Amino acid sequence: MKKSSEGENDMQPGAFAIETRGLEKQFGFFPVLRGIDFVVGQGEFLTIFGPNGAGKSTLLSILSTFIKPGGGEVFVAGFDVSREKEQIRKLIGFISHNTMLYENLTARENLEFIGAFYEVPDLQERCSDILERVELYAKKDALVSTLSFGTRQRLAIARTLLHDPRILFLDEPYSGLDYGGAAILTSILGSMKMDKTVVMTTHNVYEGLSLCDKVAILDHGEVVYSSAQKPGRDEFQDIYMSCVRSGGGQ
Amino acid sequence: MRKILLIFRKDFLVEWRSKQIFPTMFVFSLLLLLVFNVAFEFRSDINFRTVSAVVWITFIFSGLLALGRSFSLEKENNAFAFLLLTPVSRSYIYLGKLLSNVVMVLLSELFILPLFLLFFLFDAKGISLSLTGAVLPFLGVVVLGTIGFVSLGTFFSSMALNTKLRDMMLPLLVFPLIIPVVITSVGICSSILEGKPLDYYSFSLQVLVSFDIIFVLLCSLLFEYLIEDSGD
Repeated sequence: MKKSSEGENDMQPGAFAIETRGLEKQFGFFPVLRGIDFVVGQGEFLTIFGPNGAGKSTLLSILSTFIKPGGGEVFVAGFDVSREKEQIRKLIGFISHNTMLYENLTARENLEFIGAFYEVPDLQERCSDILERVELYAKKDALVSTLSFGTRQRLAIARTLLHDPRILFLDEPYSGLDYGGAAILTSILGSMKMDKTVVMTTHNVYEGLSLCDKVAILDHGEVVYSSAQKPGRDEFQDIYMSCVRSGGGQ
Repeated sequence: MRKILLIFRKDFLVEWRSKQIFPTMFVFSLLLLLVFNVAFEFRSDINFRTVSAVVWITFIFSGLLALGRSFSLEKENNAFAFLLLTPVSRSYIYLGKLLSNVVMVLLSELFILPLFLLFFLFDAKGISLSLTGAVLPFLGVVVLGTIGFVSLGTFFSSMALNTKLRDMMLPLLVFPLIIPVVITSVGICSSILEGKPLDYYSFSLQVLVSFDIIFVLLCSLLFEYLIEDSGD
């Protein structure tokens, strides 16, 4: 794995978008991730399925530098998540089922506040563009507290895309979205598929399989199934049920 | 500096619209002063050391109320977690929060000070409230003392953010550590009210400034380690 150089603001050439080796994490005495190994190439879309408590959100939290890994090695865009967090943060975007928005700021103010930290050029113009893209321009001056959950989630998507991240982490992004919101998210993700790396966690087989290039199933903190090719929906449902019920086996 | 000001501006905008912190602080301080005033039987012959202690107890109690609320607002919707995802130094986040908390607490103190004068010093004997001799030095000490306890309060309120007993934890963590700031501030304020010259309390003033510098530097450097693993 190549080391980063000071001040570099792009992915390490030739590096995998994401690479984990023996990733472990435990909270107190409770192990949440037990030796996760996987790679995601640049421009690939990986969907990670798994039941509640499988460790999906913890995995994304580590990849997005929210929390430290407990053991093993984790590289995002060629940078070490334990030592090169700032380089990683410039390159990633994170969408969660929790919108993480300031309720007492307007839609535009939320975007401008976060955009300033990413030093987005032509921020005002960029905010207008991105609000139009998620069909929220008309509500740009509305306080977030007055918006419906689906609208807030669209705003959260806009905020994540503001700095044009190279790698996207999506933690149950469809959760709570109405049909319109889900369609917009699918359309945005579909349009970015060629030039962005995406790792998405979900329970929903239909949405999870619709855009991905490869899949993995996480259960009890272990990757119990992975495939570099997208399986058929019916076939995958059978695999998922057998993996999760039996508790593992590649 | 721009990033620190961005956090400051955002906090003020949020407070301006939510009006959660400032009115609560003001009403709480007012009630505390009233309770003290009743407890001292509306007397104006209380010694200046006690009067100074009353004002600092009022500032600290109401200030901690604001500090606890300041990070609770960040916790709503986990907005603070998203801020932590941005490529901004954690020290800047701390300094931004510190700046907004200091200004907010100082504003509330500015509203409380006239009431303090009215309740305790209106017809006090042996006091000369000249602008340069007492008022400006007193305000200067209020600013320095506030920076001291708010720097620690901001630091620990972010730590208490993820604990279930955060409202109880904050005073337990902060009170023992701000004792030197409180003792020094009360001492200086008392000397000012007694009309002592600057030379008399200049050493205490240097100690107070030193506490401020140490607390702000140490807290901004340690903030990153404090909020590590504080994500969702």
